[in-house]
Amino acid sequence: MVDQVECKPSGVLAASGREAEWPHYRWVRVDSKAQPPYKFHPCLNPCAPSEWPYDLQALRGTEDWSDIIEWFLSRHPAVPREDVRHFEEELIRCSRGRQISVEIRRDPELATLDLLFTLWGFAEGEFCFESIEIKTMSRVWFAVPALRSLMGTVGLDARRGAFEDRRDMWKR
Amino acid sequence: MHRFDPDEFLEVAEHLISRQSEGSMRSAASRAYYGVFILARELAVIGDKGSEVHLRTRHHYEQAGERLIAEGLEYLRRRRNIADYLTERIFSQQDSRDVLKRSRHVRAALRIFAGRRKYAHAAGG
Repeated sequence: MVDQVECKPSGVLAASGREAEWPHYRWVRVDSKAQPPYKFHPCLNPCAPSEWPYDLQALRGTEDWSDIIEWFLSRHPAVPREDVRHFEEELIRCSRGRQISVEIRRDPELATLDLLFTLWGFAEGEFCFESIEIKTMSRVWFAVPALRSLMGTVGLDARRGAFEDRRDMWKR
Repeated sequence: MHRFDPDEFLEVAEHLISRQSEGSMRSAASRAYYGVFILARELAVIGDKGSEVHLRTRHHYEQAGERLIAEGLEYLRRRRNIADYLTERIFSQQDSRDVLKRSRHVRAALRIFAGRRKYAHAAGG
């Protein structure tokens, strides 16, 4: 059976339903302006919010990027928009042209949401957190009080390979 | 008084990484996080029992200006959440190695922090 769930505040509805095979996992179609839609399984992804953008990762420069940041800010009015913007600018400056994506992560134990940025394109076997990009951004992040106060609300990750190849990390 | 040394969790994590199953990789990441989190919590003298203890511990080091520790705890907890909760994503040996390496960095930073505090206490007293 396919039903509809709200996927965006605008009221756009996304298809949802249950897998035909046991144990009949519930799924929701994740809509994106820049990527083809895909199935999201809430019970297998407790680290993602239970509404759009689910686990959608958006590349910088796409409409989804701005939509995800706006979605997050609309739910966290106490988080200063200009500080998030500042963080974004500093990250772009430190990234030295690497691909950057953004997504929402949910802490399943604390039930909090945070905005997670990821730098892509590190080599296999490279320890990403010793890269010049991450080290530089970390120093800036901690040195500027307004940015430091975002710690825990905004996060930074680093991954190997290209953003486009990330689905290899997922079992679907 | 018996006191468990959380370093042992890092040894367990190392052992688990040498196995090939995904369950071992995920457990290694989880143990590696707790190996440093428990030490961090004890050094910060935080006795909370709720899940917010993770947040409070990280915040303690953030306030103390300990960037490597605060950031490391934040990163390790995120990875541990993926390892323990996110079943639709592959958790590889490389993922576990990253977590273990970062855990060792945080542990080293915690030891330096503890040493500095002990020295300051001795000098002050």
